[in-house]
Amino acid sequence: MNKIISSKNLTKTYGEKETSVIALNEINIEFEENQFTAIMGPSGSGKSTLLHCLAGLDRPTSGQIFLKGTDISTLNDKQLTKMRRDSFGFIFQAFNLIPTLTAEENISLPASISGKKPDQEWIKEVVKAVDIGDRLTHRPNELSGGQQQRVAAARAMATKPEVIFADEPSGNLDSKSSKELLTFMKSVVETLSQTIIMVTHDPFAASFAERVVMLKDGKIASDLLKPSHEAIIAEIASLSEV
Amino acid sequence: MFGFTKRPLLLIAWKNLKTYPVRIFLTTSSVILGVAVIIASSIFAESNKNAFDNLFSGIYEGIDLVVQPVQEGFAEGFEGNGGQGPISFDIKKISDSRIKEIQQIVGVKDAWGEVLGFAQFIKVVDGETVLISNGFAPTFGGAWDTSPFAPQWRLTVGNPPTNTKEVVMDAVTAKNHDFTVGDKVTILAGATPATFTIVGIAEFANVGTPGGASFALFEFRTAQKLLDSIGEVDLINVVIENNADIEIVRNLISALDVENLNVINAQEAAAEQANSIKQGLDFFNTILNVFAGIAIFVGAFIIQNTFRIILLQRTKELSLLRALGTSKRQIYRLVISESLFMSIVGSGLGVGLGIGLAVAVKEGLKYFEFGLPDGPLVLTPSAAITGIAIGITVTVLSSILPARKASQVSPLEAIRDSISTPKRKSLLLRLLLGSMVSLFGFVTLFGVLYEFLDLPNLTSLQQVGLGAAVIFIGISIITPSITKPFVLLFDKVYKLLFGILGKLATENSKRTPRRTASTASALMIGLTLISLANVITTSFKAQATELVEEVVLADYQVSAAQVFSSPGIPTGLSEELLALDEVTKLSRSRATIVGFEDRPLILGAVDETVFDLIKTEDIAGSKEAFLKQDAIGVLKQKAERDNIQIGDQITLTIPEKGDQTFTVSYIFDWSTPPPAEFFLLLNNHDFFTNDSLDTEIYFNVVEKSETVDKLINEIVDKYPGVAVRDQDGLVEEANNQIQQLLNVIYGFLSISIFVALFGITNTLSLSVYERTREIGLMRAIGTYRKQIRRMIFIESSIISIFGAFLGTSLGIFFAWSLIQALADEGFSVFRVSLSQTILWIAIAIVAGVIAAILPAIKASRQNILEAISYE
Ligand SMILES: Nc1ncnc2c1ncn2[C@@H]1O[C@H](COP(=O)(O)OP(=O)(O)OP(=O)(O)O)[C@@H](O)[C@H]1O
Ligand SMILES: [Mg+2]
Repeated sequence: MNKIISSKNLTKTYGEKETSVIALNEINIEFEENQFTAIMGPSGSGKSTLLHCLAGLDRPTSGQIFLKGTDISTLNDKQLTKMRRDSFGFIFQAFNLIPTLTAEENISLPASISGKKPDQEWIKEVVKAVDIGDRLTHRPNELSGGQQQRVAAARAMATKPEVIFADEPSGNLDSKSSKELLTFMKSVVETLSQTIIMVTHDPFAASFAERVVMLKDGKIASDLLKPSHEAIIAEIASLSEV
Repeated sequence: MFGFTKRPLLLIAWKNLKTYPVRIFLTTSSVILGVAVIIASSIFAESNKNAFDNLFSGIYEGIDLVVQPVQEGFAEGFEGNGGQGPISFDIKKISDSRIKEIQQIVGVKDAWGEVLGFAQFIKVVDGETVLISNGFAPTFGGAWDTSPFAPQWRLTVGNPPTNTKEVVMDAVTAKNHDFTVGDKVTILAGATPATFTIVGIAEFANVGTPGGASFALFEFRTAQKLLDSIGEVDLINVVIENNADIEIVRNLISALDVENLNVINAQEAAAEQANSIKQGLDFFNTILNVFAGIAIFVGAFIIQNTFRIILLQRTKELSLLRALGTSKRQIYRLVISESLFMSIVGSGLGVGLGIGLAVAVKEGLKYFEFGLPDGPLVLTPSAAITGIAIGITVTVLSSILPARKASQVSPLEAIRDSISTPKRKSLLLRLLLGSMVSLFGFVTLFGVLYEFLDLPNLTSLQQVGLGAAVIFIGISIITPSITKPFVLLFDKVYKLLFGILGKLATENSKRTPRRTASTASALMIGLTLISLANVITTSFKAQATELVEEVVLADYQVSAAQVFSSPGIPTGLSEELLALDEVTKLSRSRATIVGFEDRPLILGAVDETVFDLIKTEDIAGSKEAFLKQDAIGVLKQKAERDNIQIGDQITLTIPEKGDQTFTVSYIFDWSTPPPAEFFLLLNNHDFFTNDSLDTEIYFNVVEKSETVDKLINEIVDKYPGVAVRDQDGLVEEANNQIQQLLNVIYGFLSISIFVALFGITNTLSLSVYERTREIGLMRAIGTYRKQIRRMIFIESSIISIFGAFLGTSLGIFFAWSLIQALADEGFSVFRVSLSQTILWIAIAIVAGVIAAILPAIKASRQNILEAISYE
């Protein structure tokens, strides 16, 4: 399998010298194409920071990030924006959708702002997969939390991105909606050949992933392939003991 | 250490103000502007009054009595022709032998005569004659006073004029046009220009030159000759002995000729004349005050909006205060005390800006050589206090509603996370109320136009104005309810033009219809007035054009180049024109003063050809009968008013000839402003040749062409102060005058647009603030900064198009109503200039986009992570 995105000595610090916090400490990591990866770790371990840096939403203090061989840490704001638009998809924990746009318009938003015609066939397929075909003309406030997140997921995929980044996508959902969303995310990786990197602190959510990376204090603590739910819980327990 | 303060809320208010200087600036900006306009207009009013006071006390400085010829009944004599008689005519004068007689009266220290008339300095530049004047001010000639007690004109350089070839020039003209002692200058006074040597430059009292007029001061006898006053003076100034009683001297002088001499107390006259000018200025001041009122009115809208915005942004802080046990009353007082503070700062700055504005306008007028009297700018304490008081009152009143709303904030708001958007109340009530009010307005307005409702105590024009004002208020109430349907009109177009950004922008303006509407309303006010002024003047221009084309049948008209600047057209000009083969038909008109029923009367004289060159209408009698030696023609209006019939005998007292009797043989209507009400045939009577000047010449040519044009211009150019215009020229001139007026009005009205801009900036800032997350999300998923900015610009364009559209429609409608109401006055043409209308809408949109620059930049610089992070 090909690596799609990777970091080299990725470091992120916040604040000035004395009060500075090292959120990420010399992280070297690679992500495979067509894989569903979960990033886990205790609160404040740097999960979100890593995701933001990888996704071009934040800039590393030092180190590099490569998307298919291009160093994205050197891009300017305009280039980064274009990259986010064309190569990445995003699912956030909340406020995923523009309240004045319908579900359909939200899904095609990245395509619309790029001025390209959305790929109708592909969108149809995605919409079918997230099962919101009957809610397309509704506005976000007329959708349930689960439906909103599925619309967000559909939007994230609408441009056939290289990587989809998700930060606690199921964090605000009940267990049923949460399961539906995660099942869908898992299936798109398998059937529609997508790549997903998801931050979560929920072992259940992580168990849907093929690979689980554990962070602690801005460093990679462990890297598990196809761990079981129990294995993940055990690993978290062992990390918090130290 | 924890500080303890007895007045924690005041402390919070102060902290807030200190922390957010930009907010303070935005809120106070409209206060500042409003107060500035009030202050500037009052400075103008006061300074002009002062300058005129100075001017008139200057004119009469040191003089005790002024002897004038009796002109009683004079004004009544002119009533009939609407004050549109010729500008230059002979008024009564005093024989200069009276000067000697007065000098010999006991108690008189000195007496000297004054001569005043038209005199025009002329310069030849590159072979072309140029009329010299100070802007629009008149050009006068006078006699240099030789009395040692005549302090009005003081020489700054040189000597007084001593012979017929010398002249003293006023200092302002000399400075403006670079003349010095020793220069030669050509002066047109009377029929033919002559060259003089400038022997001195003089200053008038304390004002440079009265009213900005240019003055040529001749030696006394020369002045009498040039200014058509041989053996006569216009008035006699008298200085009395220190120990003499002014009333006794006055009676003694008066006794010389009680019937024809009017002796007045100079100091009383000064006060009186200054007063009458001031009344004229009051009109100007009223206009300025109206503009100040508009600025304040628009300002009130904006202040209210800004307060709402600021308070919304502080919802959390306020609700935290509530949660900590602050009462609603205290929150209310907190907000009011903040607004009080801002209003004081704003009003203070407004006074400063107002002074600056007054100075700038004054300098501006100087640049255009606009003849207002010179003098220092005066700001009275009462004016400053009024301005500040209005600023404070309006600000505090405008903050009451937002303050009440803020005090209603729930203590729970602090704990909730979301940024609250205002609740949407039903707009139906507004729609109903607004429709009712507008309906009243429409009934009032159409009541006049279609004559089914006539309100007592109101002229039809006033009723139309009232109706328009009520409609305006009604529409202002309705606007929030029609925001959505209006924006819907944009939906498709904007989506097509700007794609998803257009869609987002239209959706956003629909989200808070009240805010969109009240922001647009501020702009609406300005554009209503602008398009009203615009359509009215366009219509007037069209009317003027039609009028000229309809009533002037001649190819060319010759008249004085500038009102007040020329005594008339030398008769040589018409002779030269007639000598041309190209000229086929020519008519002259002239006027002189005669006596009629013991009153002075302007008697006109025309050539027979005038009836072919000017549109006239036969009412009674015939043109043929008018050609008879003893025939007199009467204007329709005069005949109707005084019930004059064909065949009536009219006896006129002709100067130096005595009484002559004429028979009314022709009653006719004259469509241009008539030069007189009674007419004779010019060639039948020799007494019109007295002053050898025509008032107007009309003529036709074989065929109009450039060569003919050139030929005619060559002839006319030889006569300075005279201008020839063809039909297009006449139309253009009429239109230019209207346009100049319009430009002044535009200048003032643009201030209201400027104020409205701040409102747009505020509203968009709030809109951006409320959408922090949305904008962050859009940026995260790949929207360029440029696109975010564009989205805000599009949003602002919706607001400004909304305001501009409403304003323009109302303005056009009001203009139409006004013109309908003026139909009785002869106004019939209603015309909208499409290009002007589009231009102003475009200006409004561009202005809206400019107002959006700051919010747009702010939106595009929003930190993405902050916006999307979930707390
Ligand atoms: N803008 C910021 N300024 C200062 N410090 C920050 C900032 N953002 C994050 N940090 C710090 O960086 C470290 C990593 O934060 P990060 O948000 O990545 O943690 P996380 O693993 O996502 O935690 P959680 O599970 O609570 O979301 C933390 O110590 C945090 O306090
Ligand atoms: Mg996090």
